[in-house]
Amino acid sequence: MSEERSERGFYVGYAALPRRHRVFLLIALPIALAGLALGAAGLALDQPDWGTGFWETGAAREFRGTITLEPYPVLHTTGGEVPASYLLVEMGKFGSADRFTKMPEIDGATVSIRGRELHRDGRRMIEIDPDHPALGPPVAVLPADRPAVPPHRENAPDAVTLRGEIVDSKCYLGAMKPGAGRGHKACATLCISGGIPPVLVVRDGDAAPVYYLLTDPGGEGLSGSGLSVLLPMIAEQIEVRGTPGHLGSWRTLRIDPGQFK
Amino acid sequence: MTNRFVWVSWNRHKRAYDAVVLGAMVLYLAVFTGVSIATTEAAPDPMVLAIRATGTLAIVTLHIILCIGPLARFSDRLAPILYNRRHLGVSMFCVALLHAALVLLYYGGFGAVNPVEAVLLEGRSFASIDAFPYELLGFGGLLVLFLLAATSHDFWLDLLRPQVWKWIHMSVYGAYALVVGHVALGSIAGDDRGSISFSLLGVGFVVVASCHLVAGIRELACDETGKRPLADQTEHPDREGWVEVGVVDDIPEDRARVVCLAASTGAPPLRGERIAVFRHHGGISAVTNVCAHQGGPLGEGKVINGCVTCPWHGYQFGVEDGQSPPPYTETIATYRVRVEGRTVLVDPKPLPPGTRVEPAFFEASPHDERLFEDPDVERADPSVDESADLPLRDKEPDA
Repeated sequence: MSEERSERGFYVGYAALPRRHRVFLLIALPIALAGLALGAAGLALDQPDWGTGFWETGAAREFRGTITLEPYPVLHTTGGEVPASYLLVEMGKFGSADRFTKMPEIDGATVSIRGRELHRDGRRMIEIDPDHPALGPPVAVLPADRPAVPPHRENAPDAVTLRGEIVDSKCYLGAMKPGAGRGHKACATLCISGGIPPVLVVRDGDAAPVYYLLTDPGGEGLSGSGLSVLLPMIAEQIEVRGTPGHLGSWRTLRIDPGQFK
Repeated sequence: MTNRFVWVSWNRHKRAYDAVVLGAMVLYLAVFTGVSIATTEAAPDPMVLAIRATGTLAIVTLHIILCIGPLARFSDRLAPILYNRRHLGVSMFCVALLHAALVLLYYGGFGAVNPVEAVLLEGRSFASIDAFPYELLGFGGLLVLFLLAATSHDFWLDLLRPQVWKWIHMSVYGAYALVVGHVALGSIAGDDRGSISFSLLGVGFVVVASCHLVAGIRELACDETGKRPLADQTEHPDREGWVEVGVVDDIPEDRARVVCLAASTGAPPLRGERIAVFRHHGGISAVTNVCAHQGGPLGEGKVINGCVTCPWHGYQFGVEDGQSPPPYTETIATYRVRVEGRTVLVDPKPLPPGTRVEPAFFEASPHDERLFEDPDVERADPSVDESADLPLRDKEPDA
């Protein structure tokens, strides 16, 4: 090795670059940079799909409809082309149950809510705007000029077993993209711990995914120990057995978190 | 006159090196971002895109850093890439830190618990692979990389002593294991994708492992070739305890032959020691093969201005006394040598670092003349500025 070196220039960092090193670098460097760019492109193409979530930006707008508080606060509207059920959440990683706990009389009332819409695959959500000195509180009960329309509720008699991924509905519907997968697990766990409604996403090949709002066996929102059992399962492909149903335009699934696989 | 540490002792190569590193990182981020935007109908989430781009860039750079060392042993053409590796390492740490900061802010922020707890522990279980907090592995890797970046300066090398510093910096392999675990258990394994990412991670591991394996095998083979037992003393009683290196003609001018002491040379302190035996201006001198700076292979260096010059960072030591030229104070062990006829012998007992040893001179032979006349042999590389007064280190003379 030593003899081989003696026939060639010797590189010293603080001296002039020997010719053979210069020639080598002039050839190798562009090739290495091209390889790096190719690697970057390959890795970018291999990233998970970003999803089709949407998060409205700009000024908050007003939504009107009937509010229900169980299992999670939902605004049911009838003004659009089709009836829609909007999950209601706060800014940040918090559900809106705390807000409405202080105003239980609002359950079933016609209300106006100021906020921004999130949606994905027809599932909808409103992020409630915070209190604003000029605009006032974001939630207001409207005078009942006609009786509020109760949302469609239905529960199937038989339990089913479904395989899917539990996501936090806010990020999945558009607050973050893609808002799913293990890379998003920490965020989804924080969101669901904070009261964002958990949703089971069931994918079957190329068919459109089916979404289930998860509730406890009694049809109420998951909380306490039931929620704690669910947290480690978030963002993983799991089997869930539960009783399906409907709440407005949302499918629901009454589950026993102790039976997760 | 003393010397002092400076943040960076800039020279042309370091500026060019850093410009290339910065340009390459910008190129990577631009291509990753551009391809991500161009290949999706909906606009990607800019924060998640930044998290992915910085995360992948950090691990790609870590692979490159790990391969530089062994690759530079395969061909000294890669010495310019090794020279300023510290800056590449610190740059990689900065990218990894940015990745971690974005994750903490975006995934861990805006919630009811502090971001660190949210990302590392919330809803996690060490009993399950699926719920294993893979972010902890990345966080552990980042801490190790921080330790390495923070102590990368020669100030710390000087303070901690090279052996301790070297051991600390070997933990880069621990950081690599943690980062591979972080990526494999986390962002890749959890998603129903990743054929390219998994393959690249596997290929990266194989490349890193192969480079080190081949370099290690070559090193062992080199040691085997250069292994020298104690000289036969039946005919030469005065050679007791000395090692026969070979003949002077085997050693090129201003270069060295590395010998590795065989088991018969004594107890562990000497056994396996590598000695670089240099030929310079008609004399033979021997010094340890280990550079006092970062343990570089001095035997693969060259004598410039009467100093053995390390191939890694250009640290210099007098070929006769093992002392760095003033005002630098580093010293290396020297060895007693003698030449009998054309045979070179070295006493394997190292002398205290910095001990002057007169070279063992030998008579020039016709072979030497031929060596000088051979047009294919480059005796002195004109492109190397041998008149340079002092090596430019991150420790500079303080007038």
